[in-house]
Amino acid sequence: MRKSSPLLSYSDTVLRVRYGAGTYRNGTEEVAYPALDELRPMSLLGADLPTLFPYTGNGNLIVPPERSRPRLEVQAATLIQTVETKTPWEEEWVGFWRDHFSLYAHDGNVGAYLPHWDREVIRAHCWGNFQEMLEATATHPSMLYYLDNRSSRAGSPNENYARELFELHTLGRDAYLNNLYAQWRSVPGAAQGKPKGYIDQDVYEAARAFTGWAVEDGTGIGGGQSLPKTGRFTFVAAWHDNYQKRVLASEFEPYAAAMADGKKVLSQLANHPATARHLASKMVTRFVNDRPPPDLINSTTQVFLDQRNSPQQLQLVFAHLVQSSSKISVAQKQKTKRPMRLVASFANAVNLPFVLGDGSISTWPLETAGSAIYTWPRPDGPPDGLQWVLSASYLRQRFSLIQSVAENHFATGEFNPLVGLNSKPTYEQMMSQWEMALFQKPRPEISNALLLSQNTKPSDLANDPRRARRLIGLLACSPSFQTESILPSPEQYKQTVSRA
Amino acid sequence: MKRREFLKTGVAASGLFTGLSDWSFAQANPTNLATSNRNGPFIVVFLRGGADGLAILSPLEDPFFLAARPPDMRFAMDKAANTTPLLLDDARFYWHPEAAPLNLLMNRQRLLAWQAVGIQDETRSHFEAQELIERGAHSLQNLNDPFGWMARQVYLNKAKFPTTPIGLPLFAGNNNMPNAMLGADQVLAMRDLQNGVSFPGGPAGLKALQAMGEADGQHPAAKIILNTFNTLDAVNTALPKTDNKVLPYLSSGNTPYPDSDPGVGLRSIARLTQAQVGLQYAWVDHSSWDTHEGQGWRINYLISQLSKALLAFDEDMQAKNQPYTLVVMTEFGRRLISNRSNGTDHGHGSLSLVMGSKVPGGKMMGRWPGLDTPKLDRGADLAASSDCLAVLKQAQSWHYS
Repeated sequence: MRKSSPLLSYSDTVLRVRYGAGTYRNGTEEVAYPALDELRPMSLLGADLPTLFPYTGNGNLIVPPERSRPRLEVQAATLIQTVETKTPWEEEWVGFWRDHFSLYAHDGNVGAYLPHWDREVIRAHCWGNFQEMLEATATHPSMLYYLDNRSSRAGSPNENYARELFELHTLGRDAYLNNLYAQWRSVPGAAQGKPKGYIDQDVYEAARAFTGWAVEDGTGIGGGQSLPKTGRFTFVAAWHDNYQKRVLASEFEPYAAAMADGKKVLSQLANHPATARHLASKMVTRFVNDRPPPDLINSTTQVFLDQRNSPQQLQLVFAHLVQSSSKISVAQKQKTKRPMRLVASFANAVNLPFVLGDGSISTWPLETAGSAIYTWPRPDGPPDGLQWVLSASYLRQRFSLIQSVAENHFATGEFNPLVGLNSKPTYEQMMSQWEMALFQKPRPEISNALLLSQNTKPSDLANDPRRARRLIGLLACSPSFQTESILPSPEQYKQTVSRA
Repeated sequence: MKRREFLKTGVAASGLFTGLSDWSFAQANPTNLATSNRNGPFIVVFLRGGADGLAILSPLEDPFFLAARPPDMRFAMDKAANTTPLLLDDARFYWHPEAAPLNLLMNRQRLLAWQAVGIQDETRSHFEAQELIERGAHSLQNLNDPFGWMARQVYLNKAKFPTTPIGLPLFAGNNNMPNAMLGADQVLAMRDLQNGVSFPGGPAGLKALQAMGEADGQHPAAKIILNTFNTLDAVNTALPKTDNKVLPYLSSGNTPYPDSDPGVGLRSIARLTQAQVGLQYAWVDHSSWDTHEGQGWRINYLISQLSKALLAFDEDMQAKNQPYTLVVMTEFGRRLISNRSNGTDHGHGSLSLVMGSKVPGGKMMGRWPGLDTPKLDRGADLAASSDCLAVLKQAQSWHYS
């Protein structure tokens, strides 16, 4: 099965760690730690769960200011990958699934395992089979902590995971029919065992099915015994509700084998037509148009369903999106660039020899210019659409981010704004070269408006590289540079697939 | 489609909101913005995630409540913020210890508590329930227009009164625009205005962005960029400065604004109100009320931040003689019986608060449905005896009175 390139190739890239001295409580003891400032390789990108477990803070083996390191490494490495990739749509596809199974990694118990999640769940499965991917999410410590399933117990289960699994990860809210039907039997299709949607009764029963799906985090399991501390998934039979259940009009026998109840729910959901439609609708919105064309949603739904047993189901769905959207004009499939892609498209347009520098660009400058990866505060994931990506507080930071890259404020690399020009270029000549780089066509009306606003005559000589870089950065703040068509042409796509 | 029987009460009869016209507050609309500004802003503080009203203002003497919540899922009566219980129907209520500022606001007649508020829809989905409230709708199946309810107010004003609202009629004190403002173009979402809104690249950068926005005006991103930067420019111009540097906002109240949500957003609203930019409706999100796990310690902090922020805002507004109305609401309450994660799952009815200069404070409103199993919604959750939209409507009629 094809996997998306993991971030492992950046394990040797250094990312600065810097914090002041401080103290923290370890039980009743006050522990001091010294200040630190060092350049450290991003060695956690390939880490396994037991290596990442101490970053949860459990056992106080890692000092508090270092506990966000797993998230920061993923963030920094994702940025470089986004800049360096020759196939940006692949990173967008990774991003789609990252947002679909949204996590809030500022929570230490979620963020500690992030390199493993990004590598083994998202990138490993996003070109594979959806049901397998769903199982990988359901058994991962980050998700088990984020949606609380790890503490769900027979008797009074925690419904958080089951509810968001139905509504956000699979069937979608269009299939939530709770205001229409109070009894599972009355949901259309239930009599045939194929209900067209779900109600709260299904959520409650599914919550029971997932009781006992937990994390080896040292929790006591009775009789003086505790789970080991590895961060790995575990099924605790004593916490599982063994009795019969009924989810989506299907009967579950009592005392099923370990994990069989939960796996059955995941299988029901992954293969339900509502899931295909929900996902297709989100994909077409994300990759083609904020207002998704219905026929494209329909055909994508069908491919998703037809290929549901294929080990490369999701790759085939992507290929369908590429093929079927190729008839739509580029102007009709403009999508707003998210901050990382904005940096990447600028760096690529100006041939910037991009480096991470000390990594400070990948913290607040990036995190405030949009919804930062893995940190949307709710499980629905960041909203899609021009008005959300360009909301007021993001817009300001977004433009300062472009200018920072153009003017090299964060040591990310410097480009020569006068390259390829004659020895005494005018601003007009210089700008027309960068119009082509940024917009792939001449846009003199934008350049001229810009030069005018900066009291610069187009005929003046462009002899100050710093000023030139500033102007080019500003040019990239124009509306036209904020959006792009994401999907490759079928020919481009064919080439990358055959290379892989 | 069969809707469940909605508890009928004197305050919140169902069927009042049959469509756009009902929800436009035609009776309350000011004839121009100057009038509206005299009323001050109408504010919603939205508790995202489904706040457990039962834990904020608790029926501590109700045996059904005591049976449903183990001791670490409630507070002891001797820790309650009020010693004399608040009465509603036959029930007696106590404020959470961290809600002492709310008790104070109630004693000052500035705040009222509205029990058992909820949506009519059966949904227990955060995102549906929030959207229903923010769109001012009773069903998402047949929305009449693309607006959130706050935007609709401003839009209808514009339709009725051709003068374009000046300045900034809609503001959210958080970094994402709420759906309540969906469809509006004169809107700003920015959590903290304490140090003004600087532009990338300073005034020259602003000029560049505006000039390119005009020249590239056919592009779909142009309008939003121009609107945003023109609005930011207007706001910045209105903020007081010395030596071109924006002065920090000073509260006139005794209680400082907490440097957390929703305090920061409320401080931004106070600042804009003082700057007189034409603000009519404002919104602040307060997140993290989705307490499926570890509710005890999490809710202490949330209630503390909310209560202090409301007290700070009211003291500030009162000292400045600035009228306003503020409603605190959430998408739904939480299950009466707690789960084994020491949390609570999605329920139905919850608590609303209404605060402000024209609010008949110091009392309880609504009807208390009771916690005996037959009285619960679907046998599990506090019923919603008052509709969220009815609470908003009542609060606005006080606001414009």
